[in-house]
Amino acid sequence: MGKTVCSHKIVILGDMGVGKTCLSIRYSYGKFSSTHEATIGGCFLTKDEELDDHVVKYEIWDTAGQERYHSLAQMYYKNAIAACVVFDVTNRESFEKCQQWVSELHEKALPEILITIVGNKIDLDGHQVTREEAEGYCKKLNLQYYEVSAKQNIGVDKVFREIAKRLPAESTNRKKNTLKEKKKDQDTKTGGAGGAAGAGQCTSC
Amino acid sequence: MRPKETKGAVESPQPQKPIKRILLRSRQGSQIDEFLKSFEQTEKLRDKIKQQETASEYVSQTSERKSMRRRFNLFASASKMDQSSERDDVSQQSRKPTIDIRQQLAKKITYSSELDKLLLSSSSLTAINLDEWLALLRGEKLLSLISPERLRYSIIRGIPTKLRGPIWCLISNVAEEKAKHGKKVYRNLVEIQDSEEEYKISKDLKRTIPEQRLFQEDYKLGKNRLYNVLKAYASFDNEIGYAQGVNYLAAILLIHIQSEEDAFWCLVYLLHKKNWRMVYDNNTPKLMNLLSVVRGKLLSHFPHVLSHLEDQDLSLEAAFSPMFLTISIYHMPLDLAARIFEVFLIEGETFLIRFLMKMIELKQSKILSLTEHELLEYLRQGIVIECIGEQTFESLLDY
Repeated sequence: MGKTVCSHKIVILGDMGVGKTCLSIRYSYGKFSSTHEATIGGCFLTKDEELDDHVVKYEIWDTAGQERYHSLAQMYYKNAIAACVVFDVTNRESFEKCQQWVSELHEKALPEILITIVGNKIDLDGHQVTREEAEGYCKKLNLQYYEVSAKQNIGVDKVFREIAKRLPAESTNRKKNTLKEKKKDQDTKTGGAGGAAGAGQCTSC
Repeated sequence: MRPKETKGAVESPQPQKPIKRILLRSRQGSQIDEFLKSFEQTEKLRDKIKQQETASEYVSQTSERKSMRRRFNLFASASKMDQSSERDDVSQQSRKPTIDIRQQLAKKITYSSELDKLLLSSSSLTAINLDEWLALLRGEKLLSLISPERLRYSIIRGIPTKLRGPIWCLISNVAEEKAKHGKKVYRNLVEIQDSEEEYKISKDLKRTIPEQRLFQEDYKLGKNRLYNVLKAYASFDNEIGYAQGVNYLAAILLIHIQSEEDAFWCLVYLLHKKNWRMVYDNNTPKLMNLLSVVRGKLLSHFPHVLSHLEDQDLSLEAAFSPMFLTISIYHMPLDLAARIFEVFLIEGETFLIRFLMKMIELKQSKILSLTEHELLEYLRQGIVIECIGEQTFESLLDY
């Protein structure tokens, strides 16, 4: 009856202000948010993508873009099976930054990580990075490239749908057992739910 | 207006640490008598520190003035301040234990908890009342005459909301900093050209506490207070420049402090003098240290909470970095944020860690019952709101 649900962790990377949060919110909630806050320390969203034979349950980690928080981003892509590296087509620097992210992922992330490049803000004038250039770069590295506008909802769903199709048809996230199993575990160990709280009492305070 | 007096006033929270040390040593017989005896010793110590501070302050003042004259070579000025604070550290042996205490917090947590109980239960402590605050703000009474314990106690008990901004300025030594640097410095710092920093700051203005619609003005017209304060700080400390997270600190200051120049000097006090700036340095070294302290504590006191987070593939970085990067202001009701902020102003990072541990202690079974989204949201925000709603602030510091 129900399709198998495969849970995958995906991380959104890219320079500050390229629209990572807008992209994630557009995909997860189907709306454009112009009033969200700057992302501090990363943001977590989920979304189910229904495919023909199974459902991909995305766990999306949206990261902070500022250079100095690089070391934090590593914590997010550590176990990710897919990465969206976003740049702003009207900002050349963000494209260069995007390439740095790709090199870093190749070096430090899971070897099987699926990297997708996303050029955002195509609704704006004054493009500094052409489709040809970005496609040329992606071709060389054998990466998929998509142009989107999170604001006008152009191409966003397609990005995540295509990624979902290319991901393994079984869960890849590193979460251990479900909470239910865990509770059972604890109940048998401590003899009741109340025991769980007592077990953690710090003896020194 | 009253440079000398306020100087003493602001420095006073710092010698608090030696008091702790002496107390910690005598904790076996930690009776009130002992406490009073060591308190007397500390008073002497404090006087000594003050003398040394006056001397080193003089050195740093002259060197700063020179560097300022060097046509706002702000690099130089910022590093001068660094050097002078290093000098302080060297000249004041008595400050060294501060670092020890911080590093060995894990071991001494019980000690400090005893200390706090002692301090809080001590009948000699009464919170500073409204009249007294007013006298302090008018300069009729010196903050230096109020013991650090009493100041701390009063802040934790809560200060009059309307006086919040002025009290923050008083604690942050704003009047003296302003007098020391002269009036033009702030304006000049705002106006120094740096297109990269300006771009970064401008991106975040409307994204800082957006639901309040606080900082919407066009920054190019010079009327956006948040922009001005952040720009001035980025110019003042161009090693750090503008870091996301600092916008929340500046915002909460601007909400309570009318003059943006005063808010700026408050920010300088917090980031520069208290060295919180290292949290925002490249690759966030201090943040990583704080998170590893949290990890250590969870491992020794609440290992099941830590393993639950690991099972949920939720890193401590993800769960707690917003709390440290914005001193808990991010996504927090503003009145709670202000309370947390002012305790941080006098207590520093040890407060954040103790506060966090206390909340985890209180809410561990709830944490264990949550997963995914809910777990993250709870650890970042819900737990704070819940704990402050259910407990008194004092008891939340009693870890």
